[in-house]
Amino acid sequence: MKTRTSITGNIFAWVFAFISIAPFVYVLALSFLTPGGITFKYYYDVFLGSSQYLLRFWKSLLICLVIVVGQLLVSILAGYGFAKCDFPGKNVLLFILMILMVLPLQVTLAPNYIMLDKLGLLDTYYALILPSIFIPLGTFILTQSFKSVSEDIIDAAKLDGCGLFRMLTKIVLPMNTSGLVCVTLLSFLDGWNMVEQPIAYIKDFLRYPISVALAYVPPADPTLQLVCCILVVLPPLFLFTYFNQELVEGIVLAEVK
Amino acid sequence: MKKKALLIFTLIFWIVGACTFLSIKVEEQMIPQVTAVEPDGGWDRDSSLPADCLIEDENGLHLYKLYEGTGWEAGTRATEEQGWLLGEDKLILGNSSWGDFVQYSSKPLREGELVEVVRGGSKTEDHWLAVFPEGLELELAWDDADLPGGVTAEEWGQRAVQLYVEDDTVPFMASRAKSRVPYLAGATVYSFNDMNQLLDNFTAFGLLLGIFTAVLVIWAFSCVYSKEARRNRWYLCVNLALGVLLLACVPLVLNTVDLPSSLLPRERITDFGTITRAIDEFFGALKSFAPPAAATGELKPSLPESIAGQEIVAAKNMVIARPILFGFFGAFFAAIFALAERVVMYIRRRPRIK
Repeated sequence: MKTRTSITGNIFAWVFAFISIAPFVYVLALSFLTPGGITFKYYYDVFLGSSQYLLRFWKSLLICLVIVVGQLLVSILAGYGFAKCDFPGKNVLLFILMILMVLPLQVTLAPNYIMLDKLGLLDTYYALILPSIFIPLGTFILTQSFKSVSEDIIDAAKLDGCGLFRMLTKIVLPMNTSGLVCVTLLSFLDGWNMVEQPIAYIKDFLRYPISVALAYVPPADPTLQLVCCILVVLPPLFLFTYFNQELVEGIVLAEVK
Repeated sequence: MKKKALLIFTLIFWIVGACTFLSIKVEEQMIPQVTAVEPDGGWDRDSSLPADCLIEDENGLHLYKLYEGTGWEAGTRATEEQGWLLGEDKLILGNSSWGDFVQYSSKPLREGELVEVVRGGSKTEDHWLAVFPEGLELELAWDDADLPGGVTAEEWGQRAVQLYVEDDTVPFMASRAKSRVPYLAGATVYSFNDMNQLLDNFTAFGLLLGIFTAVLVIWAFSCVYSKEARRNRWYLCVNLALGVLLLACVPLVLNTVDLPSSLLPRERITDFGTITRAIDEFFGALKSFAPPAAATGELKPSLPESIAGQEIVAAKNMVIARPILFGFFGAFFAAIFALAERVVMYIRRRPRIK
């Protein structure tokens, strides 16, 4: 009976794996194949023929890295404050944060637009970076993650003369790597896949990140768009393969909790 | 999994980084240079253009108009114009047309292609080599031919002729050369200055190939070191630093590259066949000017009689093997570097008797 369940489970796993991976394999295959046979023409066009695809790729990557670093910094400090410090109105603030989190992105576009306009940041990369840094999801995840650190450990560290910064860097963060990885991945993907914000905040086509510019690739050549997709998928693919273990651990821990 | 992902993606991102620098250069170099002309005429009569605005390729004759693109296609581009009529010595455009049209181009154009419009242009001394296709041999006495001022025939054979030009306009455009010397119609015309310029880039090609092979060798050794990643972390860091350093060298080398537009392939710079065919045809034609080896009474291959021909053959012999040689050196030095790392590893970790 046990063997039968295992085989069924395996079959399901393979079927789901195939369904998940099939679109990527399809895109990869079609990027090489044309009615005339196998061709590297479109790879040449994207990787050598024109610099605009790769320059846009690096610019988008840089924007995402700034967003990730900024959001990690904000989320770690805010998350630690919410999880381990007592201050008046903490629960109200956390509640507001949760409400902000469930608001659809489209709702925040207009207020952000007005704020960025008043700050004179429209049509600049700051318009993409600043609102993304303060997305509340990272703070919420890290607040929950930091809450799992035992108070006894914190007290012991305090008794040993450990300051706030050292406690954060030497004790709390190393104990919550899966939470950090989760925030890193989510904020990176958020930044990498952003579409509405650049369209709303940026007018100059040259400043569009690759996620938006991809839609404007000459439609006469769908294969060119597929090769661009391969280029675009590289950073997330790297992050997922590199942080694979932490992600699985995080999911397992979440299940145990 | 972590190590494998890091190693594979480090190489992928290195290649994407190098491709970024290469694509900037390729894009800059592959842009055809064109001269523009405005149609004459007005509201009351048909506009006309010089007849040499027609650009010939394997699909026939084309007339190109310049326009400004937007979005991904930003910049000055050429689009094919229809509805023209070939008159006696000029092109008649249907309605009163306006805007700039392409007159000469450094290479055949494609629909919607980005172009660089050259206005004016300096004059320089040059030699042209015209190679006629089989069946189009000119039975012309080139020394008595009615050539335009500033152009003299230096050497000629059955299928090729070498001309000296006192005041050629830079950049060289074969169609402009044919317009100046009508006898060259149907021939493939090469510029000695452009061929020399192409040969000057062989050292840079070699260095680039050397950088790529060096990175591949270093990466392969890093894969071996990564089996004991913690123990070999310093060597891996050194290899990574070397990889970054080599990546920084790519734009420095590319900065020295300046390719002649007239010798580049029409569509992709990786169409090496087009470049090698041009080199073969050019030096094959020059060889046909040389006296038979038996007549010279020397063992060394005979050279063309003109000084310019001899110089360019010597330049080619000097640089032609450089790309492969430098590519090999790149791999060799990287392997030596990696072996030195292994030696340092052995010395630091050898068993010691206290």
